[in-house]
Amino acid sequence: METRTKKRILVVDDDEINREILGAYLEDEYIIDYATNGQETLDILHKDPTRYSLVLIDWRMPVMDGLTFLSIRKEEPALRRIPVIFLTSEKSKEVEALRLGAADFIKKPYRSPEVIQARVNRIVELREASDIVKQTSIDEETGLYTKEYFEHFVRAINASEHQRPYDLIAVYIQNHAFLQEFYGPAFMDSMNKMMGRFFLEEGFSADAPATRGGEETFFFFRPHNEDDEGFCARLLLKSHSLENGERAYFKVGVYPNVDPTLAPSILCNRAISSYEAILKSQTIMVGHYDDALHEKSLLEERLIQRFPKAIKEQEFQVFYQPKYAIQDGEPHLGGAEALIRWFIPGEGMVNPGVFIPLFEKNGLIRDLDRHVHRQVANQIAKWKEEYGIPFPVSANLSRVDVLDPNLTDELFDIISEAGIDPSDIHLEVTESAALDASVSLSEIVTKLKEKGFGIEVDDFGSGYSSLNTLTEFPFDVLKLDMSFMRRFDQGEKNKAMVKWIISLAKRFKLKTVAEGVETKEQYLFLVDAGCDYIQGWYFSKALPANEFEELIRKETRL
Amino acid sequence: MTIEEIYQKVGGDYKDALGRLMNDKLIARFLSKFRGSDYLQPIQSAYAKKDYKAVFEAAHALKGVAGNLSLTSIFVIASEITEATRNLKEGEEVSLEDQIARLTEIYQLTIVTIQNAGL
Repeated sequence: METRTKKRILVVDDDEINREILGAYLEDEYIIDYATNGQETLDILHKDPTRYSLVLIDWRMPVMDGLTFLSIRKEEPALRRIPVIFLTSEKSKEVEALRLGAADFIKKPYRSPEVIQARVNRIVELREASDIVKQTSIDEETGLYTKEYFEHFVRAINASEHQRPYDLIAVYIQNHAFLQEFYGPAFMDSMNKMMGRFFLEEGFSADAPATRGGEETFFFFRPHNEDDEGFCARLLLKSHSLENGERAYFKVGVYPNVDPTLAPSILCNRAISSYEAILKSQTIMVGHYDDALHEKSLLEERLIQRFPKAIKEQEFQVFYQPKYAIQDGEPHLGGAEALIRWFIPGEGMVNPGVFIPLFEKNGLIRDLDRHVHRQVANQIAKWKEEYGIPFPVSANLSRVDVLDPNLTDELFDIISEAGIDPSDIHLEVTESAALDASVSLSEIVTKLKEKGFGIEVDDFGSGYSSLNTLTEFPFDVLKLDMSFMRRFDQGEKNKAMVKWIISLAKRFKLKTVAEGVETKEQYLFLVDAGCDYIQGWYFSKALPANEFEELIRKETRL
Repeated sequence: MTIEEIYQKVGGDYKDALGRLMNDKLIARFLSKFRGSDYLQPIQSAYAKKDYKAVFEAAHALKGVAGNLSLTSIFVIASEITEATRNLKEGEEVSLEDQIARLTEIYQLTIVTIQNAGL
């Protein structure tokens, strides 16, 4: 039987008493070896870098001091795997040690055995965990922890016995995309460094970890502090040091006094929702996690948790929004748009306006879309066989799908399995997805077209429209955003715009669909304007498959 | 003489030491080690040679140990010396007569007290 062997720690200090005090703290849990300076430490570690779980090293020592040791270790991958705790009474050296890759520091004189034991245990455990994720602890660009390491620290802090209240702060750079586009990588590099320095000055350490959570969001987990205004003011001041006199626009989300029982990812989501609530404000820079957000988050967390079960138990249903062709005689069924609906047994329908943006944000939308695509493909196959339906059904592609390199293959597999042709299914892509990722989108659309799928531009005319969209991508159908119909009664300019877009589309040989048509007046106007299809309550709302089938039956009898 | 009495006599913080070193046995072990090493002489001889960098190093070492053993009086004077010699420019001089005299006095008292306690 294998027995649990004690892990080995190297304690490095030129003073025997200091060394042995640490030894006395740790000898119950670990095997302790000693060294008296940095050079000796290097010699010992070089012999067998896998022997030690941790090095505790003093700053000032003859021959080679602790900081020099750290800077040499930094260049040697084998040594970097061994975490180092830095011992010092000099505050200025703490930051330097962390920059050089120390996992933590311990102040001299030592505070208490328990504190040191807890910190040592934490770092040793973290090393084991990070060995698994094979990540170095520090992100080169910012000098902050990597996301994995950050989460380990948050977990460790939350699990520690001497629990102080903590806040999780999310800092969002609102004009990140613009800055990136406009100034390029060198500028972003200097901005990341600036953010790294900022968090260091705000107290970034193993007890107050910070990380870059995505391209444009930073997280900072710090002991509770009321001074959010000061934090924001210093952040703004710091950003004034950017090159070109350019400014970053920040939104700050604060989740104060976090619930330590929650996973780091949930804590981060709560901090994110705190700044998202103020994104539209011109004047407010910091948002707090409050009761309203709390309720929203609880709902979101529940929906995310339920998702796998909901897929398995068929809680998601596809509804079909009929499209009517209105240019050749009597209006008749000319297609359908597949829409997702979520029914939770005993609770009713979940608002798609809630769960779709949520799943778009965390990537689950990819799985959901594929689930929908499969259902739609199978449904089309069935209708094709029974009625020989002469029109395509369209399904949405979210922006996550568009960025997925496997999309084309997976979609092709789905329709092959169902036994339908690519032309039986249309894919709707929103313009905003086009703007986000114009290069890869044009590639993907071209690839999908080559495979034979029809492509529709969804929500055209909402938000930022670009006429380039019409010329750059090989679309088949242009869908007018429903806001045009909503504004129908608000004047002639709106109507003129609709007419103009439709005539422009015709020139590009695109079919047009108007969404959100609710009145006879709108319908007649669109017939006159030359719009090919309309969808909306005027003819029919979205229907479950069996009711839509009724429409097909009627249609095919004609 | 109890450990607590040693601390009282030499201007140390017994409660602090106990918090850090857990029990009298361990404190006694480290006080004995402290008695057996000479932290004072390196400071004195470096100062005699006006090698302020070496004074800083030696005082810093003493400060570290005194801090960990909660020998507060020694810690305070050692800190004064490190602050006075920190970042001295090349050729710059500083008088430490007073600090070193006070340090010598309290240091010797500490060593003698530990010795008399039989440690």
